[in-house]
Amino acid sequence: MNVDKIIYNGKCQTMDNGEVVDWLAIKKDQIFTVGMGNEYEKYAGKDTVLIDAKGCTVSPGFIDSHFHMVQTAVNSYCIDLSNATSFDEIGKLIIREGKKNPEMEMHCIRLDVSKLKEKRFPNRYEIDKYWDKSPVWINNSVYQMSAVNTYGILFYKIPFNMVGVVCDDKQMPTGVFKANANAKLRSNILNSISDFYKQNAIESIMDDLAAKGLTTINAVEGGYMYSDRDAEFINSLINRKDVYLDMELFFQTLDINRIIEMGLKRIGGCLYVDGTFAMRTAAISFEYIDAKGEYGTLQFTQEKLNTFVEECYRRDLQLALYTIGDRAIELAINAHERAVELTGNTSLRHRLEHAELPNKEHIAKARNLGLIFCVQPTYEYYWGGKGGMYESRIGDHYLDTNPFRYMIDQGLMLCAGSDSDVLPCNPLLTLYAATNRNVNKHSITVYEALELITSKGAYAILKENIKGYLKGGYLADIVIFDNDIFSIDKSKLKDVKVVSTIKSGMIVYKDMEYYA
Amino acid sequence: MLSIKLLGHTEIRHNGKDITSALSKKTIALLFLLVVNEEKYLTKDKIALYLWPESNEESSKYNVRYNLWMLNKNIPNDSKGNELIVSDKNSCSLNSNYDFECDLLSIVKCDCKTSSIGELSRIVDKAFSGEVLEGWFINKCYDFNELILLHRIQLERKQLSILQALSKKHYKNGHLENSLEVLKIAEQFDPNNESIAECTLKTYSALGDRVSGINYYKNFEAKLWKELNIMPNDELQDLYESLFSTNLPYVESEIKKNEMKNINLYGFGISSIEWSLVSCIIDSICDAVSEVLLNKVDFEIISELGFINKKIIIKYNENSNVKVDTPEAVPYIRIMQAFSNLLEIVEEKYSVEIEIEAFDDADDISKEVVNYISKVHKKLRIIK
Repeated sequence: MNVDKIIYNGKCQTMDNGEVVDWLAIKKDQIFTVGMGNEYEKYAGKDTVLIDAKGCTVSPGFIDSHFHMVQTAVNSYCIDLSNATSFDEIGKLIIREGKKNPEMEMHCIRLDVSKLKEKRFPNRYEIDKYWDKSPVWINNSVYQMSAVNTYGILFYKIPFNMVGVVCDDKQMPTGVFKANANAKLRSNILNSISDFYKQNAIESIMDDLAAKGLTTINAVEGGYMYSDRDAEFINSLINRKDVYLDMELFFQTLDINRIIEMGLKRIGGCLYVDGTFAMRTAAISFEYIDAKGEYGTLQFTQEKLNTFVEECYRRDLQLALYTIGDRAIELAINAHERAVELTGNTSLRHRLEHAELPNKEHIAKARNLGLIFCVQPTYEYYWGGKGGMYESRIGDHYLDTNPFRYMIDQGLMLCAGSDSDVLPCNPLLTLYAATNRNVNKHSITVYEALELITSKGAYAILKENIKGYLKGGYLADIVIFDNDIFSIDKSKLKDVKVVSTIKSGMIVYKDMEYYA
Repeated sequence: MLSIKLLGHTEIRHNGKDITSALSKKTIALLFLLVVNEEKYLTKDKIALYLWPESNEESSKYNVRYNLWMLNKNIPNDSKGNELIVSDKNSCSLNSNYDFECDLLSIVKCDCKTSSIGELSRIVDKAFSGEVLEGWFINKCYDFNELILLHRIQLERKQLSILQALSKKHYKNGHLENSLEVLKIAEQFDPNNESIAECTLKTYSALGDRVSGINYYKNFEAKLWKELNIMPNDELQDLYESLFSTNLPYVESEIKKNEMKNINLYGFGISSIEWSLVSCIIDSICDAVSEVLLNKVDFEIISELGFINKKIIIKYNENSNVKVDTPEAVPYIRIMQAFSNLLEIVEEKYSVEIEIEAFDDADDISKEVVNYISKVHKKLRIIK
């Protein structure tokens, strides 16, 4: 029998107990079979496309288990301030963009105040100096704080009565918004973005995602800091043929009935049990070293979370809770323990997202409860190690963050995501970050890291029987690299490139230069 | 009359005619400056600084002069011959005697403590329609933009305090459903305000309506969590818990329960038309009371009142098997008696307040009828 495509001369990681094969044959949207040597030749007909993997690694397509799809797409139209080191640099970037279309409102993202020489957010008068011809909205990297220029403050619906409107001596708003006011401003702005705009934005990033080897994402949408309309929009996109990517919607809402009505099997994502280390709101059991008396904030009482978690168990919904600090993780695990005791159900593969600071007891309990931790290895790349953000907030406890090695050794199931667009989406950086930890004892192997974004990513969405492996009968979601990632020095992993991505049997990305 | 609408979509009308498009944005901005500084003289230099900060002295002075002229040209003297703007060489002011109304000023000037329920209700009905100069930003006019911002902040606070005052007055008078209606509006202005939610829960509790109270709390809790990622405060949670207790805490304690709803009637005087004020009040009754109540009124009363007010016959006939015709003539004494009877029926169901604008200008017959009514109907509150 002839097949449509054959990838040969590869080191094809099937992810099936470490088995490596030389080739795989694709028919329609599935892997037809895999094998060794030249046996593939018998499947090659005159119309079969032969793809030479040139001795490099071939793996299942990547599954990003925590990805804010609409935000990532919309942010691709935003001004990236992550490298700005002063107000003047922010101004230059805004002016450059503003000149292209002077009447357009400008949304800026990823401002890192600690990198600025001024060490604070610019206020509206300062932003006005650079641009006053249209509204400008500047966000920090975790979207917990923002600022607008004077045009913006008059243009957007601003909640002046709310907590978090920063005012000057004359009680006039400075244009800087925090806490509740920032959340409200943010949801007002995001709710005003049309589906048409989102659609265009998503289409515009598809090629980039394909070039990164992504074939499935867990789209975490809606709820606090986002817009419920995003979740509805993503739900309408799923199964549409013009979007190559598989999307699994995680709707961040407490409204279980709405989830059932939408026909979804899961709930949550960033359902915040606590906050972030950056804002010192992650709930921890010790004091933040740079903020006396601060222990972060829990967004649920134990009782409230218990009720909600139990309801998810009873309604057979997979639940993903956002937990970062150890107190939040404890709260979530307690609720799961109780729900399992009441229902006896451990088959729903509930998840804790991020789970950055679990202790050994949490890990053991989570394993026993069948929980999955959805981790973000690139957090360590950007924030970990000596001198990183973690250390500046929690001191020596940075040595205990994201203990991947211990988690895996204890048999806890992990999957991984980028948390795009909080941090950039780059699966190869995920592989690098998981295997090259600043705190070496937490590093895992390349194979283990690859599992997190392939087979275990599939397990975490109950799709391990159709994707995440290179095996006959599985979806032909495949990535070809420009190197053998298992034989190179692991410190070189971040330089490896994806040269081809196949989704459901279709080539959605091909590095023309590489294949020339 | 000049009507200046500065909230939401800006609109200037003179004697009902929309003249907004005849005025430039800066001319309207100048009018805004004069309105918000009503009863004060603004120097022309100051106006120039607000609206033409980057022009040289000569051209900015010319611009001020020109735009004042534009205002005067498009907005003629009122019926009493008053000019809109009082001006001298260096300064100008809005003439407070000029016959005009402004939505923003009606809110700003409102005294929540002394205003009656009717006055507050009318402001809420008529003037709560958007932000100050919604969508406005004038490039390079820094101080002017600041002024818009300042007024938006002040307005937001004032609107909320008007709504809270109104709901409190309703609550204290035992008009719990009216209070709830106002709280609903307040919630639209500030959806995450816990003190509004607290008042709402107390009102449901006072009404003895546990189910609505519980549902309300659940929705508020979900909204708060979704939008701000916080749980309701302890007081609110305690109030919610109290809805499950045997005795609801607010039923008898804080308020004297009164089943009667409040209605606010309105009338204005026109000296040259007989019965015009009474007819205007009947109009207002037709709008305010339910059709069921109106149809309980004896058809003869409707017929007699129909002589001076067509609307009451139309509304009655819409829902009645007995069709009433407009009579050709009715003695005045019968009309007065019918009006009194109508009010009596309305008073059985509602607590009635009538606010009369320009009573002194009203026709003589209406004045006498109103004076009679105010003596006979002791519970009736008439504000002239």
